[in-house]
Amino acid sequence: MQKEFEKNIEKKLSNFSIEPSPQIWEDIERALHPQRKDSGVFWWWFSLIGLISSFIIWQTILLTQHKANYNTTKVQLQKRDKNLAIPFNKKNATIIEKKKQTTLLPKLKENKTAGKKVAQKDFLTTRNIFPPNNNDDNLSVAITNNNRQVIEEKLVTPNVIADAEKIKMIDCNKKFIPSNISIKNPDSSTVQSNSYIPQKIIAKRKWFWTVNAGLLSVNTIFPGYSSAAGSNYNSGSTGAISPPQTTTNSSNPNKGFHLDAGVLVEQTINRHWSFLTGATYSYQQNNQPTGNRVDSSLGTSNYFFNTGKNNTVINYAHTIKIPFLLNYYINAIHNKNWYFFTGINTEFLLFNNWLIADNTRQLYFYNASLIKKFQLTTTFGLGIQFKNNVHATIEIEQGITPLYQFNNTNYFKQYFSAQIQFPIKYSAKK
Amino acid sequence: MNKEDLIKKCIARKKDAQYLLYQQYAAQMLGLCYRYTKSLEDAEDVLQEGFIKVFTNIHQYKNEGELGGWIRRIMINTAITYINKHKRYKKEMINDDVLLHAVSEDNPEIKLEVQDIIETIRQLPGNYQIVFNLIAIEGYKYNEVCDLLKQNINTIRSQYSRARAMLIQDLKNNEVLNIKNNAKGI
Repeated sequence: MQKEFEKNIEKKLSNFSIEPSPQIWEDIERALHPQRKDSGVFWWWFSLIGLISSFIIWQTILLTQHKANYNTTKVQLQKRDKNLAIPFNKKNATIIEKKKQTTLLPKLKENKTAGKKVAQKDFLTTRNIFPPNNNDDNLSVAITNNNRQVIEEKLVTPNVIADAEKIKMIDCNKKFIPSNISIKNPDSSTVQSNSYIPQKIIAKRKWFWTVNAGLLSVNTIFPGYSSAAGSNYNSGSTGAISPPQTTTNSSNPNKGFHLDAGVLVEQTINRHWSFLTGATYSYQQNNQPTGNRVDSSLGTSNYFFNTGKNNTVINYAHTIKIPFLLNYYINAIHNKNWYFFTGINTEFLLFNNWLIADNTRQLYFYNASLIKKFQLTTTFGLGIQFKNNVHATIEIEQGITPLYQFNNTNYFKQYFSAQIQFPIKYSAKK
Repeated sequence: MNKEDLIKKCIARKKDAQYLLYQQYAAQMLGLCYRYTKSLEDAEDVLQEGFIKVFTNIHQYKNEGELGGWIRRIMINTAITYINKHKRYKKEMINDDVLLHAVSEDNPEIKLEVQDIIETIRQLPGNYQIVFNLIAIEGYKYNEVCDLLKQNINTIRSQYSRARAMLIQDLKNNEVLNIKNNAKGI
């Protein structure tokens, strides 16, 4: 078969070799041993979920304990009101009852000048609003939260009862109770409550606009790609830059700008949990460093683009997002509601123009047709509800279904953003 | 580390053994891939895909032939798959009904450097480039190329003859150009 010409060619080319760049081995190694990176991310998410779950369980235990206290107090109140058969208001501030002190209680003090003894309101003492204050001549407090035996003697003045009544009203209406309530004594001294008072119920919000703006959003792809050192495109054939030139490093186009707007609706399940859904329109944009030349135009099939020196292409995508989220409200801190939220988002890509970076090679990109039209993502976030029912949230979003597939590798969306949400209608219970 | 140990460790997915094997054959295989593709970046792609196939299928290698020959065949198959997959290569495929060059039976002596010969081979139209590489350099027979490219034997014969003629003509032209450039002191 081989003639002299072929033999000559074969002889000349038999030892022809080209030293490959170190990046190629790194890519091969990454393709052959991908588990380590994946498992790292898995454990990171696992730890995060564990941390949030632990916090929620802890909060639930606190709630259960508080609820037990509250119910006991409620029964005691009902019993007392029945026994008294006297309306408990400012005008009827008289001596109501005297109860004996138990051995477990600190010794009660009597106010001899006034000569009036009354029982203090059980529901306040059992909730530990009044700490023991042995230095106060006018107020004797006996508290035991452990055995629920609460008997107290003190002078009752209209002021004391009125203030206590206010607290009772607040309590009954299930509003937020500030932790620094003070009760005035007849001598004008005050007793400060420095105890922890959990919130009663979250302020419900129903329909509200959500406006999510910002430079804070970060869009990344997992697994990401790292830029190799500058490459030299000098082969001079199709696909190369002519004249030959050394490229500069590209960068992962992970920082972008986005704008979301939509309507969400939230349904309260109980005092801690609520469900949130709705629809938002999202516009995302980032600047993709590419090169000064592409070998194929945008809009064709899945060609890649061999680009040279740094240049910039604007990537953009328009999507509709429908979230299904669960919010968990923790107890109020400084009169603000804090909550965690998590759940699933469904995302529909309307249209886009987004270069996909080839993680195996620097400065090579694939066009947007690879990106899937439908995606499922999961979200974790932290929110804060202000008094005017404006919500501010930060969230991390991670793709469940791949954003695109390339070289038998699935690439997932990762997204970090900060949002502000404004209410349309405020429907908190009064 | 001898060859058997190296293969055993590669089967056990030991990174250091895989790297040793890669180092041993990468440069040679990149030279091969370069002959089949139109750019160094494409050649590197083929090399990468090829070595991934080598490491994932190395358990299928039987110590009957040269390991280098086995890897070489995988690289050639990967290059052909790569070329068939990418549309820009398909655009360069030439319809055989068009007469490009007269078939030549010349056996000229090649005076050009290796790099120039390779670049000239790479300037051939896509299918001609593959057929010429397979038959002239790898030493494949026509029927083997037929099976590999899934084409008629007459088409392969025709493509090879045309490729050969084109290459000889191009080499002659380049050689003349080189001689002229040397004379001008370029």
